[in-house]
Amino acid sequence: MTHLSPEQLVDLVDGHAGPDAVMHVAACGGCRDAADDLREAMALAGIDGAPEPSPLFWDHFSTRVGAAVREEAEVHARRASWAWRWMPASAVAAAVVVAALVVMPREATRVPEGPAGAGVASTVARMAPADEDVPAAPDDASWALMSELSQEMSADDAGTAVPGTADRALRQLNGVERAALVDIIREEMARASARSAEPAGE
Amino acid sequence: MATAAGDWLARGISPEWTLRVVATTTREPRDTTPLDALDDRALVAACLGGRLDAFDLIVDRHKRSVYQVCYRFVGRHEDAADLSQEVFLRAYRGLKRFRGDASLSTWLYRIGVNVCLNKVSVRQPVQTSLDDAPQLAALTPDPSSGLIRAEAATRVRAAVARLPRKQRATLILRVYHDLSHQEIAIALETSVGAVKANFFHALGNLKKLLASESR
Repeated sequence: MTHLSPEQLVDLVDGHAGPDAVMHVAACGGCRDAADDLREAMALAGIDGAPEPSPLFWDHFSTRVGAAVREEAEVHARRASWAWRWMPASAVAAAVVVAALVVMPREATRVPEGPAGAGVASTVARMAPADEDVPAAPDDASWALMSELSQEMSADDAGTAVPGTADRALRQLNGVERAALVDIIREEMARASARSAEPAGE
Repeated sequence: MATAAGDWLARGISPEWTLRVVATTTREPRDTTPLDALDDRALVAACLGGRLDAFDLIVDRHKRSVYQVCYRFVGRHEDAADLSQEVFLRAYRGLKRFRGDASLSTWLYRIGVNVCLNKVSVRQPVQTSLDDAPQLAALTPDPSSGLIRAEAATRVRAAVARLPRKQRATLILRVYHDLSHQEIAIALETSVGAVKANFFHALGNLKKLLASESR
């Protein structure tokens, strides 16, 4: 004869046992004893009533939790506000990196229009370290934009422009941020073009 | 707004334009249902919509059961109060993750058990020695003696505190909070079969612990 499993015994004392289990217990002293043991243990466990603190505690507890939750909400709101405040700055930084990676390879590989030596010299001059006197390129709006934006970049910022940085930065932007980035780039390109189109001396 | 619309009409502004502005600036009627009348899920929705007073009501509805489950684990009022607050804070932080598959109370039990088990694992709960309490023979129910009953309760609490973690959690939720095996399975993130097996072994071990101390 197969005795009842622990699960069946628990169902039995809960009153959810099937007819087969009930019939088995009627005929099996071992399972009957096991079921009685479970009932006795449940009765013993039930002796320990619900812990009840002082009635004053509940109001105090509600106030305490309410204050903690409001503090939490405030911290969350401050963080969200901080993120929104800095989001445009990070988008500008990302724009600089993207523009640098788009513009610089084009500048470096541009086919020289004049004598070969002059073209190479011009490219080398553009790629020279920042502390040297780099000649301006007034005929190139994208380069003018890069030149202007890079003046506000620190050496640390510039160091982030390693291969793959732009891709990684773009992947981290959500839809809204990407749209903002596109707007910023367009705006800056238009502004740089407008400036380069202005007559000299004004 | 009606006055403004009248002004626009008087100034010869296109009636079509005026009507459109009036329509889009008319406020939707606010839901004036009092929070007390909302069920738990509606309160969660209200809270996610920015109403912190909805969360206050959630706390009021469930603080007693959360406190009691915490007390069963740690056995000290101050610790139980701290843990209960922690449970509600975690619930608030994770409210977006409440999917409503189970009841809010089961979800809170789940958080409560996790918080308590984590705490208990780093710090042993306060345990009343079984030697300090009357022997098992004295556990015989005697309604006329509140003292004996209180002492018996102390012995049982001490024995429950000695049970393995999962067995203890199962026994607490089943015996003291009357959760179904299904609800316990959700709260403990396990199967109904495992809950029943844990409950069976918890009761067996409880009886052994009490009996061994009475010898």
